[in-house]
Amino acid sequence: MRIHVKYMGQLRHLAQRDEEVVETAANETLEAALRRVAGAYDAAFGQILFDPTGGFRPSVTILINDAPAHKSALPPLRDGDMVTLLPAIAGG
Amino acid sequence: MRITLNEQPVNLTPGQTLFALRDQIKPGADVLVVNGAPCRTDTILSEGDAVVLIRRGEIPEADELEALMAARHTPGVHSRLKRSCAGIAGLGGLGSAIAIALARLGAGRLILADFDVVEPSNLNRQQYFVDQIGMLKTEALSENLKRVNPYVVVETHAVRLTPENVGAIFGAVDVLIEAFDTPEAKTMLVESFSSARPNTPIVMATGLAGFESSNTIRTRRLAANLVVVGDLETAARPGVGLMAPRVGVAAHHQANAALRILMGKNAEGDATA
Repeated sequence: MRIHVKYMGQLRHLAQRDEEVVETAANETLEAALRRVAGAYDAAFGQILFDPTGGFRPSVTILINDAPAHKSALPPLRDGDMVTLLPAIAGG
Repeated sequence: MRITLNEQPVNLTPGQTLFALRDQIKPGADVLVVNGAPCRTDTILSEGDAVVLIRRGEIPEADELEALMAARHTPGVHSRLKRSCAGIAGLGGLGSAIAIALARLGAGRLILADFDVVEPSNLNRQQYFVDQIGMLKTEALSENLKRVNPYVVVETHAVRLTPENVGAIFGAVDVLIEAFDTPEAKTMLVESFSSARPNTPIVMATGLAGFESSNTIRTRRLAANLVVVGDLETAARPGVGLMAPRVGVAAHHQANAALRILMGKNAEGDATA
């Protein structure tokens, strides 16, 4: 199964790309798939995405296809899903 | 021939000119606005024109004030905005400036939420005054908005927004504008509100600190109901502060995105995200 992952903000810089196709195993969660992806990049990539105590950081906004997703209730991945990762940053 | 004069419909003889209308209705009027633009030369009026006549310095009657305030709007904006409701979550540098922009536009109703009070370090970028230090931001901003446009209905909630109360507080809005400071709160609002109200657009902001170029702040549509403003990268942190110009640029991107949504347009100029 393949998903498309789009990187915004600092993730885009760290990945040095706008998006990529990620192969996922059957029943693999988005977090598990992205932890594999993060292993290929600078450690800062994973630090932005993942909380040291587990799970995604509360500041990461995740969109699946054309809508924001609630991190506590992410749907199972489907072939062809477009996942957008936006790490929100301070200031307002 | 039918036109509107100070937002009231009137019938004119075809061929009637602007200056003749002024001389007949309001001699001495020195600000003549036709279809949202000031007009300094005489012109023949056309069917459907929106004309506003103002005597500079004159305090208008209350029943005329609202129409005169909207004289420079693009025609059709005020009547549509008057029926709209916008929510603003967070009344700091972004939220206070967005609220003032929407009040000047004549938004019908604003729902404002913030738990905090005005303190001195806010005044470098937030739309409050020295004599408002210590006031709840909801109260201080309501007071300021009334001075800007008394016709806007302002509903305030001096509470900390949580996943549990976001859907109820902003249940009536046509667009919700995220104007928080912390990244966790920004994401909480987007997640909670889009779960509660999946069809209502959200305009969020991220990346507006410092004094980098204004031109790196952009409006992007990330999803059908999510517009994001900012450079996405410049966080407020030690050595990189939040200051009025760039915060104001982002706030007005957000206000314009909300206006475009309320007017039924695409919120962004660039759909590539």
